[in-house]
Amino acid sequence: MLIPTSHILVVSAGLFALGLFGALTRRNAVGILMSIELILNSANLNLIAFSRSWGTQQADLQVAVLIVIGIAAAGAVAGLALILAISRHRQTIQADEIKELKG
Amino acid sequence: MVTAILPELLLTAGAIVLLLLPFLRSARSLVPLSFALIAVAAAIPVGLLLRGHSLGGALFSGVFMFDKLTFFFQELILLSVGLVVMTVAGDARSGLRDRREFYCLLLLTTVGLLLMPGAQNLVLLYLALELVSVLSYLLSGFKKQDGLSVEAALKYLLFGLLSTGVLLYGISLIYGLAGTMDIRAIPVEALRQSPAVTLAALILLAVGFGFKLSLVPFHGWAPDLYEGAPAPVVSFISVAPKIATFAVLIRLFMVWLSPIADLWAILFSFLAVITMTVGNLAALPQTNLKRLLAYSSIAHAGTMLIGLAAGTAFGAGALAYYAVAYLLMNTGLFMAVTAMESAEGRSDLAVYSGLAQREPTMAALMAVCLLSLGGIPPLAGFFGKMWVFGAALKGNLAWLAVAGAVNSVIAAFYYLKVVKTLYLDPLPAGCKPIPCVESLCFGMSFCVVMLFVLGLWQGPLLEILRLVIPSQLPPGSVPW
Repeated sequence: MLIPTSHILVVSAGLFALGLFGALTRRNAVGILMSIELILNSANLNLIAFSRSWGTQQADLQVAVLIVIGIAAAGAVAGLALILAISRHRQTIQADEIKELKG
Repeated sequence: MVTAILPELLLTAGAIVLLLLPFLRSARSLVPLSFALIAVAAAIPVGLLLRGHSLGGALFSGVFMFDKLTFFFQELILLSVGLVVMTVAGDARSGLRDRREFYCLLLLTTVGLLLMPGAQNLVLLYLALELVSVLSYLLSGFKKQDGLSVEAALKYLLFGLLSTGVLLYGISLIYGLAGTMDIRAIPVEALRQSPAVTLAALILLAVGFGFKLSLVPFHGWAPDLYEGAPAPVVSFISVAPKIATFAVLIRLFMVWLSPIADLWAILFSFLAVITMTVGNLAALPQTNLKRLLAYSSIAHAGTMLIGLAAGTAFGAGALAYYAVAYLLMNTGLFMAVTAMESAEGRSDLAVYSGLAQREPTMAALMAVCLLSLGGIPPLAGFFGKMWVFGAALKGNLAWLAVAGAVNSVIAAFYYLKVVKTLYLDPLPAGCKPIPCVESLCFGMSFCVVMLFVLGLWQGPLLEILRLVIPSQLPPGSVPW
């Protein structure tokens, strides 16, 4: 039995909301990164669901999703590298304790 | 087909060569080599055009559009990156100048920037945007022994990843409504039938692009990044990605989504007003020049957004003119900031007091850039504002033009305050002269001369813009 597209959209909207909430409230920088990954995955889920319901350009969209996964990995690598660098300077990765700049 | 992306191929190959090949043992050849690569990349399309080749049009099954708009913005981006390389060459303190990885990252970022104006497929657009973003995070955290720089880069990264994730969700909604990633083929009627979802998607897209342009609710990273990161990197991030993003907005919103302009124009109008007002008011009390310039660049992005909100060919032309002026005045000013940062190690306003007695030429060049940013005639910055406000008036957005005019008065105040620091404040005792670096002197003089040329002799640029702005835009052509 095929799962209706609307169900998948509800799940992905939930994931998106969860990710956004996590990214805005987490104090740990790695936690923020993980929440952002949730947002990217919710978008991926959306794309896959829509491509199935449109049916015409499936291969195109699946390649696009793979590209997004690759980009997300690259972003996480850059993020972890910077988190590693800052933990050497400040001995913490709590976002609210990293505040030498005013912003 | 390949000739259209020759500059990108050349820069990619050049970046790999710079990184890998062992023959560049001496760091001295890095600057000339990167500069030569950028110059050749800029010259290739011009040469092909002069030899009678036509621009490619829609390439790679319509994914990449190489038209006059793409060509113009690509040349602008390459000019900006070329000036940034000159800035790096004059940076004696931060140690970026001698690191081959820095040039590799810079050139690869440029490849992403060159792809943005021509991206005609939402997937390519996202890919190019992320290429630029991820590499900019690394560029801004490049000095990993400097805690402030890494902290700024981390904030930039967290904001950036979040907003591009939101952008991707917006793209997925657009795809769900339209059934295609090709922005030429988006059926506007389908978007109109479900205005709520369309509006949500547009807002999500505005978050993603607003981050890149540092529009106000999404500008939190800018002041910290400007203060913490090395001056040449800031000079790069404050100009080239913004110009490329505006090119994307012109293509995506003004050209292809113009039938639903009623949905997005009001959104961008409000963003423009908030951005200008908050940017200018927050700039007033700043005591660090780099932080002040962060708020100033936020305000300038807001002013340019007025051109977009107008939604007409006039608006797009005014935006492009403003982008050229902004490139010259901001890059020129950051060259002075780089020189001061290498000499003094910091960039508080106090360092600049009495600069006119210490380095009269540099103070004069800086003052011209500042006055242009402040919108004082006859410099290019003034005419940029004038065209943008003109576009708002023509587009029945008089309230936006009035808000912009009020804001330029506030802006003029804090720029003049810096000019006063340069000329009227006393020189602190025991100041050494600032070593003159040829590339910085030459670059600043170039920017200042161009600011005067564009202000006093506007004909050629306006004529180019008339050719460049796509004819699909209402009302068909630029009215100058």
